[in-house]
Amino acid sequence: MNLTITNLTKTYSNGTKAIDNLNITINKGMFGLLGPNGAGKSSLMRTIATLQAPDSGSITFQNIDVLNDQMSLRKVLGYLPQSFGVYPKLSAEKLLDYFAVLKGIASKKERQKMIEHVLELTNLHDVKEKHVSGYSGGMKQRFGIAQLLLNSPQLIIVDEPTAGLDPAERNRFLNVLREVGAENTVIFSTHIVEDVKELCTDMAIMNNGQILQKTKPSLATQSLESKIWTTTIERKELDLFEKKHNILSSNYNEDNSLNIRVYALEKPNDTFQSITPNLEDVYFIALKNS
Amino acid sequence: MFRYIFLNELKYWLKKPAIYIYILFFSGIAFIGFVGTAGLFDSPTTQKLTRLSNSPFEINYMMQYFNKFFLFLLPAIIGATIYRDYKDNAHSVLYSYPIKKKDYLFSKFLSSFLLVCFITLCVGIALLIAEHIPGLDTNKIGPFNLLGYIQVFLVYTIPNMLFFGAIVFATVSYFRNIYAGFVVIIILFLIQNITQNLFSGYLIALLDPFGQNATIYETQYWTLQDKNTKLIPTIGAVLFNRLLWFTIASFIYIYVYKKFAFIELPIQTFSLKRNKAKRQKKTFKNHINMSLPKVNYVFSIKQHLINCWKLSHVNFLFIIKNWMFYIIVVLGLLSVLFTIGRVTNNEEITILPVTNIVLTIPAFFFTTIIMLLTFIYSGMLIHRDRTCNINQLIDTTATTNWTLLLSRVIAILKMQLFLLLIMMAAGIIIQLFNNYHNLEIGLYFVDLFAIKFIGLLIWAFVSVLVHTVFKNTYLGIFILLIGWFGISGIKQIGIDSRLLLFNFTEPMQYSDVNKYGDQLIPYFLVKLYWFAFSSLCLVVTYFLWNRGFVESFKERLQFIKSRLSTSIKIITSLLLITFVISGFTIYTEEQKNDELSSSERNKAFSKFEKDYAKYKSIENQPKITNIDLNISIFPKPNDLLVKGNYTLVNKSLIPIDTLLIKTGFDETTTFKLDKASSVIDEDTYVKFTVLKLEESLLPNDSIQLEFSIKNKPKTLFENHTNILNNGTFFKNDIFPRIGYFLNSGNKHPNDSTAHYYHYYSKDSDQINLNTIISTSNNQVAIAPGYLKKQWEKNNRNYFEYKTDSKIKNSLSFSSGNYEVLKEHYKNINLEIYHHNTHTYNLNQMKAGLKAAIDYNTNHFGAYQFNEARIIEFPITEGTFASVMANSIPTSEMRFIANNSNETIDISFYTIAHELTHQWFGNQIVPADALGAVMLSESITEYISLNIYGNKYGKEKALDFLKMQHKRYLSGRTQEQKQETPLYLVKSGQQYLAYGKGSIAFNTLSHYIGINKMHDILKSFLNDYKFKEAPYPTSINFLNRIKKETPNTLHYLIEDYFETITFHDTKINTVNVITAHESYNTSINFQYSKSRVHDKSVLKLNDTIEIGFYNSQNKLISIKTILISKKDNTKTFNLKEKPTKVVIDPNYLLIEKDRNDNEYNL
Repeated sequence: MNLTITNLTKTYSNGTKAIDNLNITINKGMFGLLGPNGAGKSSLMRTIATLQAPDSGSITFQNIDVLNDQMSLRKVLGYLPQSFGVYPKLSAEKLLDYFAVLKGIASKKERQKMIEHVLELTNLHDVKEKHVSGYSGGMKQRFGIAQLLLNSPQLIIVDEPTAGLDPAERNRFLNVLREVGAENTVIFSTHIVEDVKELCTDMAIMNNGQILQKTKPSLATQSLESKIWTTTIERKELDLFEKKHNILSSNYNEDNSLNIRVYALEKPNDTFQSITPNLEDVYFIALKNS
Repeated sequence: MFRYIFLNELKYWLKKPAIYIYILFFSGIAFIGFVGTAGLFDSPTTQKLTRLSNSPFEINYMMQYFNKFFLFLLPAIIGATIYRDYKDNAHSVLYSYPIKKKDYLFSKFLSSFLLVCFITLCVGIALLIAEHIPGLDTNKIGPFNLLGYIQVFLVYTIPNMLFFGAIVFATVSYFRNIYAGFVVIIILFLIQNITQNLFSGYLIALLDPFGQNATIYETQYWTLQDKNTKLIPTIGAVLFNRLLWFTIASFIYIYVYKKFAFIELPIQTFSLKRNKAKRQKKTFKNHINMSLPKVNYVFSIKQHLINCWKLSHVNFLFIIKNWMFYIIVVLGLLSVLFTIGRVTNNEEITILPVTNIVLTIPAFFFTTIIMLLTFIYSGMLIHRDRTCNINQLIDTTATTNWTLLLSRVIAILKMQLFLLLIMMAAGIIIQLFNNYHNLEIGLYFVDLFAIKFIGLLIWAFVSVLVHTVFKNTYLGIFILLIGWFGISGIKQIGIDSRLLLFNFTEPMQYSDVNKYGDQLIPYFLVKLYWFAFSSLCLVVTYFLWNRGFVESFKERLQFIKSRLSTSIKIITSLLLITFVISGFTIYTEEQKNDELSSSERNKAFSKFEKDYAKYKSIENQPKITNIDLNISIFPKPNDLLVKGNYTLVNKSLIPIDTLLIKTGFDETTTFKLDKASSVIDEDTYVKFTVLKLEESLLPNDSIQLEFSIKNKPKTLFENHTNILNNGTFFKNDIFPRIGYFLNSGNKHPNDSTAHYYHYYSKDSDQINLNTIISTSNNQVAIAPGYLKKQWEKNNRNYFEYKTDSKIKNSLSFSSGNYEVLKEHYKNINLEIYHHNTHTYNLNQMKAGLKAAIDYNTNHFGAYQFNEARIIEFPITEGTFASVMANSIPTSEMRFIANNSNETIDISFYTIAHELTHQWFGNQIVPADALGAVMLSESITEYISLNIYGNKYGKEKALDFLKMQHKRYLSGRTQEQKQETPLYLVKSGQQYLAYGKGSIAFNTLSHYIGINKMHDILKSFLNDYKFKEAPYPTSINFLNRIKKETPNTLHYLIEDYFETITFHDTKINTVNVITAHESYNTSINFQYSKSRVHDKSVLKLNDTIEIGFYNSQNKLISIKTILISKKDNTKTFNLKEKPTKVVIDPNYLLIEKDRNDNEYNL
């Protein structure tokens, strides 16, 4: 269940280099792709999902040469794009049937069985006769998962699926994804560090079309042990501190003072205290280093 | 803000190439169309009075068509201007700005409306320039009249754009759907069609969305002269029409304006509660069974094909489960029903809803609607995934591109089939409604689902390609429209090869007698060629199919390589082979046709006219006295072989040394004289030969002409004979004819030389005929004369016919598989040879024969034959009936007439008319001069009117007369030359010969008395009956009438026969004074008459009738009065109270406007 990407490059006609000689291997399990907006995550995912042709490079998934045998990949692929719409005036059940046909389930009985199951799984069973166009954001995302599961995919790509969901919806969604991810290769792109922390066994940080760091969330935080320091400063001192220290992030307190987190091998000075590193620190360090 | 949006919008559009494409396209067509009709490409006409190309009427006429074209700009520009904001999702941002609704909507509408107006103005300017370029035919260009242009733009074009632009704008804003705009246009067309077929006269004029019928109404009685000079009257029907549609458009616009709100979602008219998803309350189960059920995934070709079908259904439902589609189906159904209903029920002459008629009448209109919907919905389906933003989900499934493509194509085809089914349902409804039960379901299926469907399917394939190439749907639709209209355009510039006219085939002609004849094979060959072409288009579509994210067209071209699989290669090669083979077959068949194009033919004829004019003066030619024929008809290969012999006699007192012989144009003829001669001149194209006899033919001497005729072999596309598989009918015009044949019948009746020849054939007086005619063993062949012998040889049927008495040399021959109805009536054998199912009107026809025999033998003497046979010929050969010796060849149309309604019994009338010709036309034969048909057709039509009245009563006879009035008044507007007085009527002028002729004779007979009229006719007939030259002219007849009628009525002869006179009467007021059960009714009215080509005020001493009606609309009395001045007040003493007064209730006067003849109290 290995996805191997070698020397992948894609430049758009406006000159933007979306993917820049990218190499990565992704194993079975949940894989989080972390990166800021415009990092090239979506371009990479679309390219893997056969929606876009790269300029050069190769992608293989379990002996499938993805770029030259798109159809074989599509048979085992589940893809949920960043945003999608549906045909109006069609119920979830009917629309899933449409997708089930597209995904090759020939027998009507089997289609029904599968649709029932994915509806149950995504907790949409009660609303299966409603028009999907009338669904709330979270329900629609879960519908996206439902359609993705129809072909029992081995490679699942979900592009920023939690953007715009309220916390409850997001939780429900991640639960579903977790269940799905156990047995397959799931690539999950996001710019929310929290998502990766909760879900992923492996992760990579991406920016400017390149992989900055590939690691495991637990390992990455471990390696920063006793290298992250925090202190509270006045707002106007920020410039000064920024020049002196490697500030990873800052957040305001109620009295308008700032808590800052700093990366340093040793304690910068006495006002600083050691703090447990988190994944966000890993992410910001990677971005800063690029 | 208004100014800002307005200017911004204009700037946006002016940057778009589409605008300039529209301008170029429309003005280009207008320019070429105009200079084409104005004769830039033709040799100049010599005729004095022609239809001017630049008269206000003609400009209006042309612009009316453009106005319909322009309608498609409305959704593409006015609709798009508002739709743009929704499409780009700009509206969700835009609507949060502080823009006033008024500013937003008006600036958007006004800017796009101005753009559309600008494009239409360009067309006007193109016409204006075209009118002034040098090289046009000066006869076709009248004085420049700017008012004509201003009028058509101010009254029609710009208001139309405003009204329907507003409706389209409102609809698109309301539904936030650009296609709704196109659908509105189709609905408008349907409304026009329905009003045209449902209503009559003024109502059509009023309700027509485009105002076109208002113009037609106002100019319905315009002659060529009027059309060339007058401006279209705009007060009246036109004004009210415009006001009505202005009101309708305003209402819709105001409604939407009020409803319009700056919100993200479309305006909701219906509650959409059911669409709201239930709020989710249930929490997730802690443990979910993740393992998906085991199912089989199948990706075989067969499964993909099955999937195409399954998926197409979702697409098909998307098309039809839609309010727009419902409206179109309902209106389409109504329009088909009303269109057929008009022909089968509402017209004066109606026909039975036989399946063939039901399929033919609405065919063009309905297939046009299906075509437009194909253009629109294929665009919608092709772009649907992207519009819905579901494309990424679909594109990552393991479904092949061709499955996705075909599922859409199939959905469109399903829509087409569905609409064809609707048409079939409409046809069957009409048939059952009329109690007609011979449904011919098989014919429905062949016509709709084989013949029509293949043409629609080819368009569907091409339109899928166009929409795949062009991402802008309305540009795609527009390009398809251009292509579709353009086909008739390339035809006009002279390209007529089937290889280049996309999907073009002449409409199929069908007859119950001959079915499709041999048209099906060439039809399907041409369709196969274009089917292969359009399937190749589909292959290209497959190559360009948009999947995933594609940045440029270049990238799409790269798909081709990856999609070029072996099976595609095989399919493409097969299609290419089919395309080339069918194309080559068409090409070789077309090459076999050595026929000249129409312009070349005209040239050849005018050259002949010039070169051979010197023979015009050779008038003295021998006349045919005896004809022997041996005719072989081969129905199956459509071949004809004629061997014949003429006996020619010099009946003049002068020796003849030059013989002029014209032979059949389409046939190969050889001939031989039994006296030595040499060819001195010959036109092999026109088939005219000039022979010099070595020894002159002395008076009373005779010469034998032996000839043999063979048809040119038929090609796939062209049948060079009139021989059909069944129902053959041909005349002797393909036999050799003697004498100079042009300009016959054009002598003035005063010309003494005119009396020497009769009108029907210059080369004979009356002849004896002996015919042996053979045909295939399942058919009967019929020739003039009586059947003397009948035998079978070599598996063919032979018949020998011989005339007992002399007949005119107008001969007809028939062959077919007939059923025969026979009856012996007053020593005359009546026979009707008809197609087996056409039994509907046989009784009426028989009654017509009997009534005509009774009436004419009673008043004018014996019938000259002991046989009268009616022979049906297919509707494809014409809709007429005529009399040839003892036969009456009658069109199928008269056999399927619908006489059960409250209309004119056309079958009875036709036959009565034709048989009456045996007296007027055959016993008395008019001279070859102007006015000849007054002696045959007008008298016959008058007698038919009397026969009709005797049979069906006075009321019906009046209906018949009303129809003749209409025939005359509308017929004269179609006159391409100049209307002549009745006594100079030419052969083509049926509106005069039949229409005015029957009115004239009827009015005269009304005042001199019907018996007197009969006496005059009989004595005139007796003077000329069965006699050879001198033949009578119209002037001979008028002189006879003048002699026999009192001087006080001579004005009638002058008004009706010798001049073109119109009457005008008008009742101003009517007063009734009651006194002791008597009612003194005084009427104030005007009466005048005027003449064409004579502006002087005419003296009056005329008789007119006034009718009085009671409250039950029953006639109380008719008073006949003498009028000597224009304004009159007359008082009448009536026994009953009148509620209605009508001047001229018997339709004796010729009036253009009869509405003011009636006065209701």
